Amino acid sequence: MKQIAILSGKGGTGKTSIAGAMGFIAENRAVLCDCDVDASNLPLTTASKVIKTSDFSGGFAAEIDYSKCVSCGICAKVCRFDAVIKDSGSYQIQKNLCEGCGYCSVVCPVKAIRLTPVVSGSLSLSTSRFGSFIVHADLHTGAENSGKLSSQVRAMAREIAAIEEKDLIIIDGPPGISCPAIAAISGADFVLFVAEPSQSGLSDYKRALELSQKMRIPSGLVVNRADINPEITELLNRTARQANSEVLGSIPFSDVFPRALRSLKTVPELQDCPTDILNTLKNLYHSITRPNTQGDYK
Amino acid sequence: MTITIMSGKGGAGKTTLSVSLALELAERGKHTLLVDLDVEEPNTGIFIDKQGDKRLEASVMQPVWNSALCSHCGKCTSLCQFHALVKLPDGVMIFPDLCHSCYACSDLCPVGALPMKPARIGEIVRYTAGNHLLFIEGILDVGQEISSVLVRQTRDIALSEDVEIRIFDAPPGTACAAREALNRSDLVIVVTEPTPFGLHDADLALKLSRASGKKTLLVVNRADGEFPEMEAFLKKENITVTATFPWIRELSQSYSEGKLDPKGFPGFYASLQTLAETILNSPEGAR
Amino acid sequence: MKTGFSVSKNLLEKSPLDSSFGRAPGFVTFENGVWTYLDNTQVADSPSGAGIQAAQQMVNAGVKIFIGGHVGPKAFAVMRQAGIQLYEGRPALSVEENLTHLQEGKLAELNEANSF
Repeated sequence: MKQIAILSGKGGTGKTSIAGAMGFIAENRAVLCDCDVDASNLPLTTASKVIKTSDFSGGFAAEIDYSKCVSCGICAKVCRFDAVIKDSGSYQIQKNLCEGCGYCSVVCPVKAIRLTPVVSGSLSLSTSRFGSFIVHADLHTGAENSGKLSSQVRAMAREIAAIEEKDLIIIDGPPGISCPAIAAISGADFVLFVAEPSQSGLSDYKRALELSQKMRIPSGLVVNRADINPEITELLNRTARQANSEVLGSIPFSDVFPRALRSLKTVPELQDCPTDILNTLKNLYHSITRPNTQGDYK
Repeated sequence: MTITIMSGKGGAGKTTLSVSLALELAERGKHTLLVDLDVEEPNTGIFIDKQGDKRLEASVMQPVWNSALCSHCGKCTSLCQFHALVKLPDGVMIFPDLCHSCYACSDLCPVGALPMKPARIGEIVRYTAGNHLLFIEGILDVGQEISSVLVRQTRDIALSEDVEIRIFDAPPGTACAAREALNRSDLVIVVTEPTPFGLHDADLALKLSRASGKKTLLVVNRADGEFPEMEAFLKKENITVTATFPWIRELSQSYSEGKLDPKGFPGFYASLQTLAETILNSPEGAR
Repeated sequence: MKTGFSVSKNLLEKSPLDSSFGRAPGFVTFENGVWTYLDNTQVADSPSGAGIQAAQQMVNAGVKIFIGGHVGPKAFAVMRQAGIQLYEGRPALSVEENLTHLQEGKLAELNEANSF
């Protein structure tokens, strides 16, 4: 099974548009998954029907049993996250600040505090218009542990791929380079970077590339809206080559991207998708799915 | 006054607007501090003509195992909810990336064999950027898993600066890191673009902002042509658009080169003036 | 030497080897002709750190050789540090058959984590 993660570092480079396009070209050969659990957009342009949804619990939070509590305040003293506040004589846990470390429950002299699971999002399985499954999730706003939800999205996608005997998983990654991004690419066979040719795009690409190198995952680069700044496009490609990352081509600026978005479709689905863009996307799909796409790593 | 500029969706134009607004307010003589809280991918600084950096190492406290003192009782490993400590026949193994710095293992170790020591996660850098403008950025070390701690530390350093206006360029998304930015602000500006993704994510950003009880303004960036769904969205959210920034190809080009000169683009600049005035005339701004 | 296995259900020596580790429903150990079952369902359902907790369970049980499926980097590090030798077994075959395979030198030793 080949798992391909699409990542960008910076948001807004066209990662989700490319992921949707790859999903459409793959038809029913792939399982898609959206690991941007903060702002899950891939299903907007690809999904047709939600099959099932389940609650996600990202961790625990402390809960006080007031029939036992003697208001001694030890819990508030030991909490490093300022999650215990005193309100008109009684101590209260602020669930949004509680990290679930359990320190308070261990030191409570009357055993009045226990840890309870917190529902902080949902995990869903949908079908796409082109016959594939899409695993996606929604983290409640302001919640923690999006990395863990990302891992669960990945795990469900692998499960579905195994049951349905699909040998390809396409992962739409989150922006950034910390735990959600790490969870989205760890164990992937290939990372496709989608970068835009700007100073910030270059800076973000370099940091994201460094992450994939640290994790020893082979990668490739596609530059979106390449003609907006040809010099930086060249700089991006040079950065990729120096890191033994594959240069997989460029996509010119085109209004077909925003138009596809507005009609809630993937780019290759539009009847008037320019031939050069369609071909670039098809070639990109073939490059990333061919069996031996490997850089110097692994 | 402290303003958070957030978007839910990456690439909607948070940084463009944060920088433009900071330049505009500084030019109007307000002592302004621009803060890049996107510590995973900090790039606000690219657009700022800055000098005189002061660097501060950012760290978190983590337990370090002292083999000489350890009595191998195993209390620490059973306490840790995050399984950051494992008891082995000949000692304790620590996984620092799982540690939440709760201190339970360290405080409750009966023989004091797990002292807490600082471990680097990144850095916070402060610059001056002209007469009335200061700039602070947090930069997370690549490979670090938890960014919200550095967002909080950068935010708190920014809050200790004596200025008239602070502008937080928030991390993308609506999870814990974004919440750290906005829960110490007086005013939140949600930036969206007129696409289904933009509206979907703006909806999440508005939810987060409203849940915090902050006054919230909505601005639309990269407007080009009609987008009928916008009207329905505004009605549903019961909000009006404070300013609409047009999509200008030349502006994207100059952004791509790391340059931002709002005055060079009259359509954009006019909207910026509207936004700046709305902020300065708001009850929060008059304070 | 005590040998541990990750298993899909408890049939002692006939238990089928499970391809997961932290999320496996249970473990079987073998020493001096005695097969013992260790339940892992609570760990398998825990929100995070399942691999580490399962590794802790193998270390606590005094296992010296482990035969299983996919082991993540943290669990691998824990078991290696505790001096446990790891082998990649054949899922679906029973633990008894896997042990025979090991004695005949048919199982590959695991020198790095093969999961995440």
